[in-house]
Amino acid sequence: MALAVEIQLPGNALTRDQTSLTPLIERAAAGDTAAFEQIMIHSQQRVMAMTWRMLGNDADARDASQEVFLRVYKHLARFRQDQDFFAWLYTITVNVCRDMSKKRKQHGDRFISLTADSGAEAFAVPADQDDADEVLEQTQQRELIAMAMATLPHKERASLILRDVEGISTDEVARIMQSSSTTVRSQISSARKKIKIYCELYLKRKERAR
Amino acid sequence: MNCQQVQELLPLYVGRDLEQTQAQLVAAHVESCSDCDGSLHEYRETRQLLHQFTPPQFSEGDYAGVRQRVLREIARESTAPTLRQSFASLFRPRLSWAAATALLLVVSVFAYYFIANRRDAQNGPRLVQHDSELDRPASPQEQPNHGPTPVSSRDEPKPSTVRGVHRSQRTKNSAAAVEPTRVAANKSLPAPVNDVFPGAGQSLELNVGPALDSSAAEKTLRMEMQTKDPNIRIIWFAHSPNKSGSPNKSLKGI
Repeated sequence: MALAVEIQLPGNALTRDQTSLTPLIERAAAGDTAAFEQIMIHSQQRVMAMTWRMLGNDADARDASQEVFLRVYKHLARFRQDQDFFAWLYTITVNVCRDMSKKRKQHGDRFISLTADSGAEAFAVPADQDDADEVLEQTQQRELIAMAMATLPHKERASLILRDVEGISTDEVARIMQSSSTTVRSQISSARKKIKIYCELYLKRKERAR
Repeated sequence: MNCQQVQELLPLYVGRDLEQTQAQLVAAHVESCSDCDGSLHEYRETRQLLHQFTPPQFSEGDYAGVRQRVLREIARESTAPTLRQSFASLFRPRLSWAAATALLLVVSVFAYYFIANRRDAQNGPRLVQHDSELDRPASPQEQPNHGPTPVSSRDEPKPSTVRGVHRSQRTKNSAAAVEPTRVAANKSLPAPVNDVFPGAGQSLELNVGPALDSSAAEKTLRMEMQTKDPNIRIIWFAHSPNKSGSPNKSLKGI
């Protein structure tokens, strides 16, 4: 039996960087675009990663990220200093991805083909994992998860990414999703079940094909 | 706790999303049940796969491109006029506004003139007074003995009373034309006087002298009354008393 190691990210990871952002947020809210650019630099990786996971391809991720930052700038005056900035940012990101999904009707086509779109070389491969078989396995696993995620409804996908990938607590996810903790737990439970069933079926099919 | 209950709770248990008491019950069951333990193992593997669901490494160029597009859009929106400015621009003085206002005034004046005239035409009869030379043969309204006698719509006309309305027909022989005129008027009689003259009750007195022959050059007073019916008009002719002192008949117009 293989040993599985659970990785639990700290739940308060979001609030760490906010103190350095507070003066920038105040200046940006007053119209200082240079300050707003600094805010973008602080949060661009998080936003691009989230949009890519939600939408499944580079082009949509860039467009969605652009829209996220535009909305942040437009509504920055409404942001209260006692709020968690990154939670607020995630809320906007989830909403933008939802709107974009609806507009482009990509709900069933979110699967990314790693060879066609980004290319396998775009994914970071650890230097000590030169074994081609291992790289291939990782690529296949990414592809499998991407396919599984594409089958999830928008809210379940967002809840799962925020909870299991970003490591945000269930209560915080509920605030980001503007929902209740009970609802978020139900969504996470359903999403994990579906991912597991999808992966099982896929691997069994593959096993039969061999 | 049975296997079915544990299977329902495993997705939350694997992510440490269960309450403590529930988590302890599930843990205790999993230790003693190989099937549920196997399911728990599969859930954990799937969660591991999620951590490999990482995005591609975006280059600094990708990030810079997004930032530049955002800043460009912000600059564009800041120079675009706000709703308030757009609204205020409508009220800046412009030649086109002056021309439009002038045109509106002209149209208003014409419309007022048109409506006012139309209203006057609809409101009862109006009197048009003429004081003109008589340049025509004797009118059928004029009779040798008692001047023009218009015909009432229902009654026999009384010689010296204007009751109804008749159409005047100009003929050379006024006396001979009286009867035909009456008949014609009877045949096409309009509504009773009261209907024709909504303001009935007012009377006009005219002096009408004897029929004039064509050679007469005396001044004649001519009174016209337009009724509600545009096809019907009452015309009175009156001329100044002649020197021979022939009696004048007075006519009452209703």
